[in-house]
Amino acid sequence: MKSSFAILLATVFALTVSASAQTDPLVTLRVSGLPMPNATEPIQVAELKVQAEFQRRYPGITLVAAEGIRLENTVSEVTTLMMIAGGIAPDVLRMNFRSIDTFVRKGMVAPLEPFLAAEEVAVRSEIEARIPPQVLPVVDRNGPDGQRHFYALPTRFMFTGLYFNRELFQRAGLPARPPKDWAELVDFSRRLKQLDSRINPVFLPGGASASWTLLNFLWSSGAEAVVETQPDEWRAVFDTPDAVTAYEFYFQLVEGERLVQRGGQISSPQEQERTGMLFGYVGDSIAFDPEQFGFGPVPAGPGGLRGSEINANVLGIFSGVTDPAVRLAAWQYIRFLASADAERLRVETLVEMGLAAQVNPVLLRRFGFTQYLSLMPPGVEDAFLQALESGKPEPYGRNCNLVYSEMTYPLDKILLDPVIAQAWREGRMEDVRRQMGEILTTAVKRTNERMLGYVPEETMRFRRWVTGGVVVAMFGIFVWVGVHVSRVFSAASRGVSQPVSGRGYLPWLFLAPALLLVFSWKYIPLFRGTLMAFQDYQLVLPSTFVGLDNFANVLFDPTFWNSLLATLHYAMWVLTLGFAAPVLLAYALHLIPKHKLAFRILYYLPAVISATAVFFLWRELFGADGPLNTMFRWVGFEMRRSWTEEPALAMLSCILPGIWAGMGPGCLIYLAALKTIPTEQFEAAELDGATFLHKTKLIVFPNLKALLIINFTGAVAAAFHGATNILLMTGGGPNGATEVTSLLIFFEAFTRLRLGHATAMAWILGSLLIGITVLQLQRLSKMEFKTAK
Amino acid sequence: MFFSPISERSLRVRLLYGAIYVVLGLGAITMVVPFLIMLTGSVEQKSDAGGLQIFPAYLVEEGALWERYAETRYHGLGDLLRMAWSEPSASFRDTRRFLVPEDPSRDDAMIALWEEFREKVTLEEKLFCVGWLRPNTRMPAFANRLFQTWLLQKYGALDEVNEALGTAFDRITRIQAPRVRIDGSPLPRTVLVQDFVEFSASLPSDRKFLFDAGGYYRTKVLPLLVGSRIQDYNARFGTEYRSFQDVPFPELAPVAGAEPWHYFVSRLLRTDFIELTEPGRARLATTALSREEFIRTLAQPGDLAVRTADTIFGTWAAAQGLVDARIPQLALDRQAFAKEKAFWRWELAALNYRYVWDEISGHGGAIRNTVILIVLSIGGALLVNPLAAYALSRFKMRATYQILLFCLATIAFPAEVTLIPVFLQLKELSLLNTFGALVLPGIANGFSIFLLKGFFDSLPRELYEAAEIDGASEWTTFWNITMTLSKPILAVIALDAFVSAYGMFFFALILAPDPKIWTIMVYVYQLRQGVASPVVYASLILTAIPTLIVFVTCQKIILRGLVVPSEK
Repeated sequence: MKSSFAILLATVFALTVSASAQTDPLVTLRVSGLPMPNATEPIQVAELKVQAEFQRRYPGITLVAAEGIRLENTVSEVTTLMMIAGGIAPDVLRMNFRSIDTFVRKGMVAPLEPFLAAEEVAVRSEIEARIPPQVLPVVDRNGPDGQRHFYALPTRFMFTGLYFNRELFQRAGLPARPPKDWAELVDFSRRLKQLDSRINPVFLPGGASASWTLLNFLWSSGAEAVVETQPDEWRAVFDTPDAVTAYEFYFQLVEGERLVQRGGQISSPQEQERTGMLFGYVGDSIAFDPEQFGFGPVPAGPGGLRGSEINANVLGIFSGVTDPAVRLAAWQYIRFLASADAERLRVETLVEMGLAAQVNPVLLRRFGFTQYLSLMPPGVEDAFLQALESGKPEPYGRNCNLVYSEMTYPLDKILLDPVIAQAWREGRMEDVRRQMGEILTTAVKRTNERMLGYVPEETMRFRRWVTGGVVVAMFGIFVWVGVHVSRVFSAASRGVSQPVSGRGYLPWLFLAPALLLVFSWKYIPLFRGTLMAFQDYQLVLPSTFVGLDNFANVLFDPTFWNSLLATLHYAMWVLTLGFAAPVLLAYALHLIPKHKLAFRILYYLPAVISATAVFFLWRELFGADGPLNTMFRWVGFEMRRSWTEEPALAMLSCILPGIWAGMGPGCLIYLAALKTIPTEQFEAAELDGATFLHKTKLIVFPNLKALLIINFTGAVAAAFHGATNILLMTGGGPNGATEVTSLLIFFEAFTRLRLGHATAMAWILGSLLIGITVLQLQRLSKMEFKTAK
Repeated sequence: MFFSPISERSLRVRLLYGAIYVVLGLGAITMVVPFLIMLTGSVEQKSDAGGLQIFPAYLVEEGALWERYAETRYHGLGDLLRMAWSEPSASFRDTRRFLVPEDPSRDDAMIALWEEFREKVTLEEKLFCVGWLRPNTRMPAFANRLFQTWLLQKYGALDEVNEALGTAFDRITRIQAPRVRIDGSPLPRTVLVQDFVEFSASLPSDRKFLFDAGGYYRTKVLPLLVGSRIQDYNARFGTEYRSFQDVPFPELAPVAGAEPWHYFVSRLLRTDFIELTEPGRARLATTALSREEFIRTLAQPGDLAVRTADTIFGTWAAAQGLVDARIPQLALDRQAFAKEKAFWRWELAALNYRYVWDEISGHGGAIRNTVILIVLSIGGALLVNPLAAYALSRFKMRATYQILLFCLATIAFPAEVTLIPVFLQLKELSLLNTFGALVLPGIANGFSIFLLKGFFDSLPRELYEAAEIDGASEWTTFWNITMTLSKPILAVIALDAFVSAYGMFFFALILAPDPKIWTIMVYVYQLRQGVASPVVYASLILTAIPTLIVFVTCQKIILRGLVVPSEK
């Protein structure tokens, strides 16, 4: 009785729902990732057809592309997160497996139960039948309220496989299929390399997501990335012996045998022509010519396992959508995209475009395109089916949007480790594995703490105590500094005569705009920032106070201390090279008797292109095959990577452009100051027989001292806050070598939305700099300012 | 003078001067060379152009221009080049050797025959392929721009184009011509495709080339199917060809070599280039398959006929008694190239710049937004801070130094702590995506106020007294005396405001994610991520022009307005 009532209710609801869908005049639905209308790439063409069919069925809904900004050196979901933070969130969120946790945990996705409940039973079961059992926990999971909810529908399933370059395989006398197992992969790679040394046998992407390829190796070797130990409790486990085998294999390809040139691009035809194999999704848009590349399952590991990854476009409704009409439209959109009808359209389109060989064979059978199965090389269908069955969803546990950067961290360490390289050359495989194992164990601990938030309670208690002490000390220093500075300041200001006595409200009227702006945009944010450092700050859900936990997490986070080291490294360059360059230039320009103006203009030239442009230009110059590397190769250096990816050069590459562009403008103030030195001093010194060095030391330096000190304190403060140029040049890479604290704060705040954590970090950085700031204020209070005549 | 005229003549000082000049000279070279590399790079057409070139060769040399011509004409795709010229060994690296014909009279004869054919036989538009399009979006293309302009002319404005195409492009440069191929499926029948065909028909024939199924068969398919040696083919099919170039590609399946012909036609060739023969139509009727499926699966060699320009031409020429005639595309290209060298030189050099200009100006708001932002920034900086500094410098208040400290202390605030709350505060005040977000938080600057106050203190008191006697209001005094006397320093402040507003993109992106108020620099940043370096170089040079103009005109004022601190 009860259940039939529920069905009745659901039917009535469904009826009203469909009725309103038809009468509702126009609903605008903002969707991210709509296909471009002129797309010619097969998957996109298929999506266009699906979209057109949706528009035909729901004429009342207008789809609008919601496109956000693309930040360089960040992963794709950052765009959506930033759109949400910026208040222009799309109504339909497009997620993937690794990022869904972030969206759910932060309360950004609305549960779908009300809509599912309202659907007819047939529709529901159809939707549920299309989700493979291993994918179900990805979308049916615990929410921020601790309850289980159905959050999203996966559409357009894709799984990984290996693409191979038909032409190169043929030229190298290899069979027209991808390698069966790892041994064959190595063998094929060697033969491709023998054919032509310019060939890159396997394309392995570099950067922070480099370990995406590694994930397949992990699974093929029988290892895992993260596992759920208890409901909603996740642990990283990529340090088992099997995992070492996977990392070892990667090492063999890249550094051990140097078969593979890691990194680079695969977008231009020239690059594709010399690429032998590459890992990619079937069912996803591909950047290369499908005619040129054949496709097959990923090679099996030593134990015969094939670790294929399943992923999908996961669509959910943004929780900030309040208009029920828009919510309903969003549901209709999601439901249609995840329906069998849409799937059939996609398969049909691909088959029509002659790409049947690249469609999942299960789907070919389901939609009756069996004649195309015979086009597949023998054995491929079985391998596909096996891969699908054993296919695993991309890690979807807590904060798994960071999983690749977490696994890349030990990967880069392993690739650059001299001990491993040495042991490999000498054939001591036991040592290779031991060293890798150690690196991985450390990395796993780090991941458990940073990504999965796992810190034993006892440790946490200890940390809170330590942090408490640190914060109290910080507070004390701030109070002392405040008192000290204000005393110094008022002492220095006494004695200056004031010309006119106050005239009632007038001075305040003049002061008002500045004071108001300073108060509202400097003091209020400072206060709020301070508060935030003690909160688990959330954009959508209510924030909670967490005491000193943010500070504790920062103080005991090795990444933070690493970033501090990077900051010191950065500051060292800026304060030596960067600070000295304009001073020396000004001095040289001051000394020379002729052509002063010509040189001044030449050195000023870089300043006319904007600061942004300077960094763009230098990135091109620093490129792997850019002019600088070309020049160094002429001289005989081996330059494999671009400067921004070379650990030893990355920091320098962030500094040089600034010096190059800043020298000319920076020297002007020193030139002006040098001009104010009375010439009689030099003449008198000359009579006394002073040399060049004497004059520099005894006349020039004392005259410039005030300016130098002021500028130096300013430069120190600036050196600790430089982030923009680094984001532009390296994005913090390689392997965190240039991830200075300001950049880390930026990433934490804007790409991971851990605002409280970021602010706590900023406070700690700020308190470390307090000494130099006091000095700066002290010096300033004793200065007077005049323009140079 | 640092050195007296007498000591200037001493060897030591001369050596010192010499050393300084050498160092300065070397430094100057490093300042200039990147500019030259950038200028040269900005007129390149290759997506992987790089190296140390300091001058673009094709501007003066014919061979280099021909290379560029061939590469851009065939979209930088070697397959297309080899297909059109039917030259299996051709590649963009060595197109130079095809510039001069081996036998010019043969060229002329072939062209004459081809022109006769074109006069007598009309070819369907789908048989043509528009040249100078890039299949990848990382480089601008000459014909793509023509297509965009053509669309704008047909429909009037971007909004109408969007309406007609059912799209929502925010700028015209986003529209790409559809990618047309010789294999796979025919193009979907969208409005965009129909427009593209119409556009293609409007082009003169030397802006297009023809799909040459035979050329593709000989240069791409046969080597893949039977191996790269012609001997393999001869051995298999009992023929005696000297190279793949000699293998004919007839309209109907040939007797010798029917197998590879059929494989190519039935599996790869676009189905709208295929006509079913009489038996073919009969067989299709017996199955339940669509025409496309039938061709791809069950069709026999005898069922299919290829109807591309080369087979139509071949059949026509055979009727005139000429066996195995080929489209003289290479000869036609040489002829067209000889006529239009100056045109291409200019077009290719301007290509990237045009693209960047379209990208910036085509999105109307960018320039307007930049101007608004600059005006607001300069206006704010020149009013708020001097006013406050004036009040602090001129009036005796008990709180003067407390106020000064209140302002100056802000330079000690950790910027990262305030950054996030500023962002949230802007969000709460609904100021995100407005100019307010870009300007308000930065206008009042404690350090500027401090600096200006110090400077105002040094102005002669007598002028103020005179003004007071004249009964001038405070505003007049502020404006006519203080501000007038401080012009150089204000100019420097204004210049700083200009530079930071014009160059701002990082915060602009975060504080204004909505493209409605994006400035030029934000667009350039976005543009940069999707294009190859030559376009980036062009965008850098274009965006440097305003700054260059401002700096050149303000040169002298800058030096006068610099404030040098000294100890009291």
